[in-house]
Amino acid sequence: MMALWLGCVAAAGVLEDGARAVEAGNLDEAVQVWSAVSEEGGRTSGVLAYNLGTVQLRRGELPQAIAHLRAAARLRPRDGAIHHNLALSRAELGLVPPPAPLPSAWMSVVTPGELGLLGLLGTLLGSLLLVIGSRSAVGRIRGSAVGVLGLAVGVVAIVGGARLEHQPIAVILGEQGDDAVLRDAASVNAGVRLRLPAGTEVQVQRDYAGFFLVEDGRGRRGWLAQSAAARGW
Amino acid sequence: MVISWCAAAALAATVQLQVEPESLVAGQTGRARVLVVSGGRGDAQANTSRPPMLAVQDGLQAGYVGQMSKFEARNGSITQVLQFDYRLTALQEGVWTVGPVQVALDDGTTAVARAVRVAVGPRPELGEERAAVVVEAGFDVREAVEGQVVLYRYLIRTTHAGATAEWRLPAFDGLRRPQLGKTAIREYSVDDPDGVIQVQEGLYPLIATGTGQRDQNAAIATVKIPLGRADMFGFRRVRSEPWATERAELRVVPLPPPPPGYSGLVGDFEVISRVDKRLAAVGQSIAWTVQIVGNGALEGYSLPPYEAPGAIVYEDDSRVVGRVEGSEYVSGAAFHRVVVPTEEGALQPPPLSLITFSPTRREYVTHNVDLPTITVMPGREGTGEVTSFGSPGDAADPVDLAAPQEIRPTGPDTTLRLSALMPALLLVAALPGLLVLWASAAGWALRRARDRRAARQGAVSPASLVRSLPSDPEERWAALDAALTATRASEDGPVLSALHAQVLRVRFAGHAPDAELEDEVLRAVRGVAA
Repeated sequence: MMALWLGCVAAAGVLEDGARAVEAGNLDEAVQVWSAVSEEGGRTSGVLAYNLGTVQLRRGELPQAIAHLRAAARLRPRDGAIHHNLALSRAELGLVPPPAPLPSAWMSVVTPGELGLLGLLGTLLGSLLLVIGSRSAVGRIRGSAVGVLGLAVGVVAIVGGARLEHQPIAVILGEQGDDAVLRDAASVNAGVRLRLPAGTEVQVQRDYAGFFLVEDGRGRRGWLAQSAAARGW
Repeated sequence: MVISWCAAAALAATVQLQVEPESLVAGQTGRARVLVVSGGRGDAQANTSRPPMLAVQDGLQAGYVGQMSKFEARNGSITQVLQFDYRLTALQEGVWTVGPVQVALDDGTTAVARAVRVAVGPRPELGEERAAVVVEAGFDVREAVEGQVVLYRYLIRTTHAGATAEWRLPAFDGLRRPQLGKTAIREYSVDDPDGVIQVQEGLYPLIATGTGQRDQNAAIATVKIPLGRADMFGFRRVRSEPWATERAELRVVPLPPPPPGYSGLVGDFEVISRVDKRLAAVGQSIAWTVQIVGNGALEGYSLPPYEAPGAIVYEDDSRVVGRVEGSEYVSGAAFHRVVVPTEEGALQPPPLSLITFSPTRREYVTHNVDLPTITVMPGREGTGEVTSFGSPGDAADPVDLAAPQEIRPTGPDTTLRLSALMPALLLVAALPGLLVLWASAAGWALRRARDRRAARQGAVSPASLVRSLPSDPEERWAALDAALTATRASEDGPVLSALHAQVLRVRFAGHAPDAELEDEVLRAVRGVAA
């Protein structure tokens, strides 16, 4: 795992390329270089998403900046710089509905991967205690308790990770400068249910026929054209 | 009732009267219930030892059946519901009134539930055959206004005991389901002189979105009628019968041209405004709550912007609820705002106007919410001293909080996600522990089986031990020893003791056995066994 991580760091250099472009004042090139990672099917890191969001904040592309900073906050929930820039981006917007929250509150403190690692270590420790204390009832009970706790934490992490993956956050871009329209069904002919201003953070619940079924921070749902939103991840 | 339902969780105890069904045939008996809804501990409660009097007109007869108490989650909070049940018998044809019901609460107040009307129809002629299954479906109104919430009611009445129905409802073209309010399913029985009638009823709320004739196709009910007796496992064979209702008729008319400032709400609404104080200081927060209750959809609605001279008004949170209650759709919304006076004197906020469309009056209605005059006192000034807890050197570099943090030139380009591998890794981690647990469980099961086997062997009777003695002398005397031991365990005496001592001497001290000893042992063992 460590080797893979180190391999990623060594092989990349994309961050440095983009940083050089930013230093030279060429923000478009930086966005292009960093965006290419996800466009080529790679999984962006929290730092890369943060850099993208920060550059887009400087360019005044607030919805896109918020989308990338939400993605960064998901991968690095305890990074103060991300939350600072996210707060600045939101403050630049006008009056928008409250942002859609993450599926579970614990995700704003720890990532599913970190929690899963904790669960894995707990399960391993439980197994170890069971093997060591297999001859005594107390040892077996202690090992079982730790193991079950570790497994429970691991399951919470797996379920949370799956929910986060399948219900991403998207940010409304607006439709040709206007508010985005939420419709009753996944069709341009469906009735208008709601209008949301650009910068509104919504949770994507389904993806069908070029539309997202989204829910905003007030629990209002509707179908939104995919071209009118930027997905965080 | 709409207001009482919406206020139930937040205010004092409220009372509701429900009747099932609201139409009976002379001679039939339905049910009525009085529900006292309160916020639980601390709220006023009804006296459970004295059920409230249920007043009925001459064509009906009511009798108290019993009461129960339960806790329910309503509007996101736990409420206590005290339910008084009554039997309601139809005596004469006509439309009769049940209630109103007054319930005395233990804080000295009285809560009142409004009266309900019950229609009693004529009884079929003697000999007239009654259908065993009746299915019905339709809207609660024939004509609705665009945006109005209508209720689609589907119902099955059957005399087959234990019959159930699965419904396939029409597509509801031109109608859509509101975000708030699920289908309400009710099941009850009506006691008829010719037998009990089971009723299953569903109320499906819909918003009329398309205009014109919006008749809906028939609903299909697959009725499952139990046949014969239950088998040994409690299952009964069923016969499925498809039944179709009539088409449901509905005409939706468009809204008339709206006046300026129309809120978009369609329904009969009432608007209530409340402030938490009428005397405040400059800069002090005054909580202002606007409640809208009615029978229309409130989803996605927010109050119009509001400004008051001499004060700043801030938006706080809002909450919208909606559900099918009884036989109507009820909705409520609470919008919280905070008013902060900026000038001393008498603050007279202007009225808040809200324009809705009333389907019953077929016209736009303007609700003017008047706010009370608030007396504003001068605010108290502080000393203005600033205390710093940091050392002077810490504040050397002021930070521009409005500037974005810089980008990071280094760091990982990608993040490893563990989620895909996590189930397998958890299983691998848990495997040694699971193996240990499995081995412990298997060992325990083996020991238990061994103990049981030993217990079974120990239970062999002395008579059975001597029934077939082995031919080998050592084994033979061992069997006689075991038989004597078992015999002495149940009945002992000097004779048995002496015999046992002789046997032990033969087995372990090398004494030659007496020729009569074996016969004596056998007689003694069989004698005791007999």
